[in-house]
Amino acid sequence: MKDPETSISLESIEFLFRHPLLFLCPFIIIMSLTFAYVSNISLYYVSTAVLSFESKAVGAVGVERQTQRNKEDVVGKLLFGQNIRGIINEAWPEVKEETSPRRYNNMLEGLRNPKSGIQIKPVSGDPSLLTISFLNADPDICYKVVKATVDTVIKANKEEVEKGMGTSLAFITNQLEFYKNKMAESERETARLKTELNELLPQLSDAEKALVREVSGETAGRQEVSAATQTAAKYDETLMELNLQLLEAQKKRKILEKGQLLPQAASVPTQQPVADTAIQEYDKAIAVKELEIVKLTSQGYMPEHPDVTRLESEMDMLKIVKEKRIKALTSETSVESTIGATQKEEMVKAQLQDVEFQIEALRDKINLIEQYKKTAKLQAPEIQNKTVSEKVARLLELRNEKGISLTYFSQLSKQKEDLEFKIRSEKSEVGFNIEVMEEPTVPLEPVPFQKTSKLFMGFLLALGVGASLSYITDSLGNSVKTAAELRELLQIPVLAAINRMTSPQETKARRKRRIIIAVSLAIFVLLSNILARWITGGPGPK
Amino acid sequence: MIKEARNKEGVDGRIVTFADSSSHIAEEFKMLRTNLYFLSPEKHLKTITITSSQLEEGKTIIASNLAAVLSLDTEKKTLLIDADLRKPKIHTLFGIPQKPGLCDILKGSTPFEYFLKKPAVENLYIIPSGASMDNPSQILASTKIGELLEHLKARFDYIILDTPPALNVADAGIFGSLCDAVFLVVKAGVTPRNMIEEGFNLLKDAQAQPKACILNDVPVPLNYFLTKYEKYYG
Repeated sequence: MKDPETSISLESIEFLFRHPLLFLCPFIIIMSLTFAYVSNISLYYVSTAVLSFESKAVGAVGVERQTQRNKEDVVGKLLFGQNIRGIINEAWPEVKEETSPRRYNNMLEGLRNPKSGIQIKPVSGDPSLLTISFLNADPDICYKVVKATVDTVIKANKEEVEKGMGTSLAFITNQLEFYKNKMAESERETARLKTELNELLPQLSDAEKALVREVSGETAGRQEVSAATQTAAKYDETLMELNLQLLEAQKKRKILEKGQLLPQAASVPTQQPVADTAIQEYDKAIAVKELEIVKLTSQGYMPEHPDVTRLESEMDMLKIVKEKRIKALTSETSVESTIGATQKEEMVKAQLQDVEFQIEALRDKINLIEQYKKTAKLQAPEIQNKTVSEKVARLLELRNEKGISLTYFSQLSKQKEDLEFKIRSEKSEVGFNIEVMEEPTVPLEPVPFQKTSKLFMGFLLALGVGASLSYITDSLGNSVKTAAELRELLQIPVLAAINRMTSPQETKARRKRRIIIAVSLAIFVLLSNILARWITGGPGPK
Repeated sequence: MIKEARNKEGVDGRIVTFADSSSHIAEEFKMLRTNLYFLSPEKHLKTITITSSQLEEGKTIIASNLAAVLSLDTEKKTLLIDADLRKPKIHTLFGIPQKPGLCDILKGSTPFEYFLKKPAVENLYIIPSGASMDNPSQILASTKIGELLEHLKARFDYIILDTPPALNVADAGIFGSLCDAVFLVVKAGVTPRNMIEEGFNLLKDAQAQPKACILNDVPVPLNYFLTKYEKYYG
């Protein structure tokens, strides 16, 4: 017997034909809603700014080591703290936290929202660039928000930089100001003293006059006295050098007393922290401070003098920064020393003895030179007039001070230049060198709306819902749909599966019904469109 | 879809075997005829009752088309009896008078030979329901119907009876018990399973022999439109 089912194929989707209305109605409804949405959706504008994170200074702190994620995090941190309030004040000045706290908080949340808020994204292909963008129906708001965001990021970053490396810069600037003032003061005092001494010249002997003229910078009698003063100056220089060496040796002794080997004594070749450019810079700065302290003390300044204490605190700070840097580098290399504990102890002791010896020798030298200096001073002619003598001594002192101040001033200026260059070109410990590569602008064209994709998504949804409804109804029905089901139910043969026959009257009635349904759906489509237009306020920017 | 409401002889368009013999539905009835031959090869099924579980399942159309397709064989005589005495439809489908008919034969007012003189439509002999009766079950319960069928069996190769639904009245069971086979018509996607089973069991209880079933009103398969069937069959 021929199986009536053999002619049936594509059975899997025949449920759609068994319930055509259940499939078509939701399909048309969803598609009409999709059309209404697509044709009435608000148009959005986007404003974008591009920020760069320069990575020129590879040697120092290493911007290149920072991943892109870090940069985004840094910008996010700079932006989404308290700073974000400034953006609201800039873009929506009418919204005040005091008067409308709820709206204000909603705006805060809105700006912070990772999907609809301020977008911070890397530029593909260039890891040093980040884009900041904001999407809104109002192009002016877009521009204002992005502009305020960029300004906030730059400002916050600057503050962060100044907090870190900027502290040193501020300190050096203060120092420069101090020495500038000091030099100006010295100049004034020198000028005053010279005038006074010139007035007193008639009362003095020839030798005294010559000395005063020499001290005052005049040429007469200069050759006789300059030898003595030059000798004293030479002794001063030598003393300074020796004092520096003494300080260095004392420092070494401190290190050895802590039980640490000096870097050059390590038998295992490792990447020494002192080889780092930044550490060398720190060392130089520390040495300059030490020199200043030595000079001040050699001029008779007490250790409690404000200038000395200030220099010491600066030096301590530099040392702390240097220690940090050494620690960072040490953790990177993390090379374990293979020297045994006992062997190390012995080496430390030996080094300590050497350093002690050096210190002793240096002290002897210093004492000796100080005696020479005193003797040299004695050889210089003495002025009997006490007032003139004091003024000359002061003038000499001022000349010395001026020389020292000038040296410091030039050194500090150089340091400041270096530091400023660093701030401009490197990442500091806590900030980036951020520059605006592309300023935000007021967007003129809205963001292109993906009409086709939205329609396609709507189509898929409509298809899914229609087919699901049809399938569920088909599955839940208690009726027999196929010959196989009937055969299984009654356990008797199915002679035939006769297709649906529709008479012309039935066809007419069915057509009429279909027209009614089509008209109803058309009315629904129209109404949904009107409703969507009414809800959204029609197409165009909101 | 049926092309015309009625053909020139006044036969309803749904009797596709006569009205549109080249249609794919007419082919399905031819297939039904073939399957009928193979259903019981050892015993020729001469008398067949067509019924269903409930109303409006298409049993009259199926019975009419089956009779029509069997009548196409000119060597064999086929008779269609409208045994639905309550809601007769056969006469309207074939465009013949309702009276005289089965009721008149059973009452004795008309001899059955009256219907054997000539075919009603082409090669098909038809006995319509006849004049309406107050209590058809009473007449059907008598032996008259059995005697009538015996007479008719001697004169026809196929006798097709269109009966009322099995669940509504007992007529189908009575006719079924007197026939060689009962075919149960089931409307696809409409008739609930429990009703099909109930009708089937009722027929069995009435000593009828439901030997096969026919699935009716099956949606036109998709491949009919996608392949060349439609062109082939017109």
